[in-house]
Amino acid sequence: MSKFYQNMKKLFNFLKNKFLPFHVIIFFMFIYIPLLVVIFLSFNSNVINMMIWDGFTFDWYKSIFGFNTQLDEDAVYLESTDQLLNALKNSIIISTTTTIISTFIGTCLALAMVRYKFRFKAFYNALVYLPMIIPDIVLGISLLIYFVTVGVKLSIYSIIIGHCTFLCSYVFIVVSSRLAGMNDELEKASNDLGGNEIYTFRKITFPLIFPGIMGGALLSFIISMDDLVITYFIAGVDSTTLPVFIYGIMRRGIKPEINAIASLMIIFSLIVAALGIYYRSKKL
Amino acid sequence: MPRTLISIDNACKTYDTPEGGKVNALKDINLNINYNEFVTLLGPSGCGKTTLLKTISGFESLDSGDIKIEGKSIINTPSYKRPVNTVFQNYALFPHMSVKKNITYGLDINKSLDKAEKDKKFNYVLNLINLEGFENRMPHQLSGGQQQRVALARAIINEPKILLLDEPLSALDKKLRSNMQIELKNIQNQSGISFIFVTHDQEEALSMSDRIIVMENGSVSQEGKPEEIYYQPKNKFTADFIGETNLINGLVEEENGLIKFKNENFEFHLTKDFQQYINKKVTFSIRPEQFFTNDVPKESNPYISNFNVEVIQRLFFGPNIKIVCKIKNQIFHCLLKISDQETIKLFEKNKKISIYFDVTKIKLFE
Ligand SMILES: Nc1ncnc2c1ncn2[C@@H]1O[C@H](COP(=O)(O)OP(=O)(O)O)[C@@H](O)[C@H]1O
Ligand SMILES: [Mg+2]
Repeated sequence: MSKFYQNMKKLFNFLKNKFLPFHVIIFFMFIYIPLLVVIFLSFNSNVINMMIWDGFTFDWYKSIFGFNTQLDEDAVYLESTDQLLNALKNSIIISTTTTIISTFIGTCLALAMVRYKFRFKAFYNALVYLPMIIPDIVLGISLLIYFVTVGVKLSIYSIIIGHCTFLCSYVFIVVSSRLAGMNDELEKASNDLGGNEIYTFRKITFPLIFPGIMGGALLSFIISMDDLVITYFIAGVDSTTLPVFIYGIMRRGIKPEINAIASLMIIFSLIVAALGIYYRSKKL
Repeated sequence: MPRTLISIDNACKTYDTPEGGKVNALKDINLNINYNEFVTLLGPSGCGKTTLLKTISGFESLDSGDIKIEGKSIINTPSYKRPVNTVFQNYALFPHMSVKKNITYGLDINKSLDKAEKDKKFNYVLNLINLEGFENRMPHQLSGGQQQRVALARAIINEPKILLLDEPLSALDKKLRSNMQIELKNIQNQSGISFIFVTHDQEEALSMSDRIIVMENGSVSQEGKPEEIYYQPKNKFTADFIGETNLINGLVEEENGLIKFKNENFEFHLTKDFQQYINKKVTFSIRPEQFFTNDVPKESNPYISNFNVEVIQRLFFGPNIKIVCKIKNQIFHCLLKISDQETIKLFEKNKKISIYFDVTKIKLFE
């Protein structure tokens, strides 16, 4: 028995030492190679087949931003960059507004849920998680039906309202886990030393959960920025967001320009995500 | 005549448990605490010590009863307005603030002080807790003992009338603990603040307190000076909880005008002082160190009684030796003073020895 156990242990150690590094490398390759390929191909000058390397070019980037290129009109999607920039503008307005609203509501929710006792708390708690569990497509359709029934015109505002419905939950989760990790004796200590509720919130609670709030805000910004499914249902004619716009042009076939757009979005997301991780990792 | 600073009258507190039951955490507590007094709440875990502190600091409300500070009821005063500060068990230092910011937290709220006054107070307490040079450290850069002292400084800088300390030393190791006990006592003397100190460690309570309040199950079991509590326990609970003691059940009987304690293993004569217990079932309590072995002639003290016992275990502690011995089925623990190597030989395993005690010093509880 113990012999068997020892052999098993040896085997596991062997596997661990020899293969764990490989496993890790393969795991990360699996995730990142597609992204790297996209970035790589965004510099490919082959117009006909973007999978075959034909030389280095900035043309696709130039074309997105409306600079002159030697490219054939057929090779690109965009007659003008106006549409793209308009979609980008919409996206930024929507994400920023949504972030502010849902961060505020989500943080208040978290404070109430973690710090106070009230009836049916478990029920409300489940209710807050629900929008995250519901499939996007269901949420999108139900929001659409709701807006049409109530008579809200589909526009930027309907998108903002729609995004807030589920982003509050994301912020709630990030902030409440931070709050739960914070010793509530700190607030008592502040109270004990003469600080009333407002003073205690300003000096103790808020600074300590701030990294969580920042993390939640960045998370909701990035989710709002690249949400396609829900936005697709509730976007009005003139309120196209960047993902909806990209989805639209892709239906006209895949052209190398998409690589340049994708690369820029990847880099933007990485920056926001890095900021988010930085804030969330700050120690209590 | 000591003046009363805080009086707790008929304090009751019941908690609803999540299981749907009720816990009587405080049952009709009556207490007075004087100015400049070091009072210890001592009791086993769950007896309501923390609850009592919380009702004084304002984190829990009373179901009934009153708490008065200098004659004025404070039960409707929010905790941030009470002249009471707390040293929390896990210190609860603000992790995002330096030592200085932590300590001056209470002063910063109170805008009435100017900077010079604030600095003066700060330097005074920093000196008191012996942490000069640490003012810019963050709490996580301090050792447990240092954090403990910052927590203390943060509370006493506000010059509260009462300082509540909830098992403040329980997270420290033994050496640090005994150092902090001395420091705490010094700080209490110097500052003149009344301390209400909670512990479940009876040695700590005995060594530090002016007065000990022994709590049992939400009520006060006994209160008094440490030596009173130790030598004059009023009930079995106190006798058992404070220090080590031999508790032996038996019956008190009168025979030919003599009073006797008796059980199936042994019997001995009692003095007239124990008359009230005649024909009652009692528990007799004697501390291990109240036994001695040197033969004292009966004539010099007629109240000396003795047991002939057999040694079953011997533990050598240096200045003392602990002997576990028995008469028939009755086990005794004795703590004897020894001063030379020869004496130890007398207490070898299975040896038959006589142990003596003064009958007037024992306690009987019904
Ligand atoms: N918030 C609470 N809810 C329900 N029961 C509690 C609560 N706090 C304490 N108790 C109960 O009250 C009793 C006294 O607790 P406590 O004052 O913390 O004891 P101690 O500090 O002496 O260990 C215990 O039985 C405990 O389980
Ligand atoms: Mg306690």
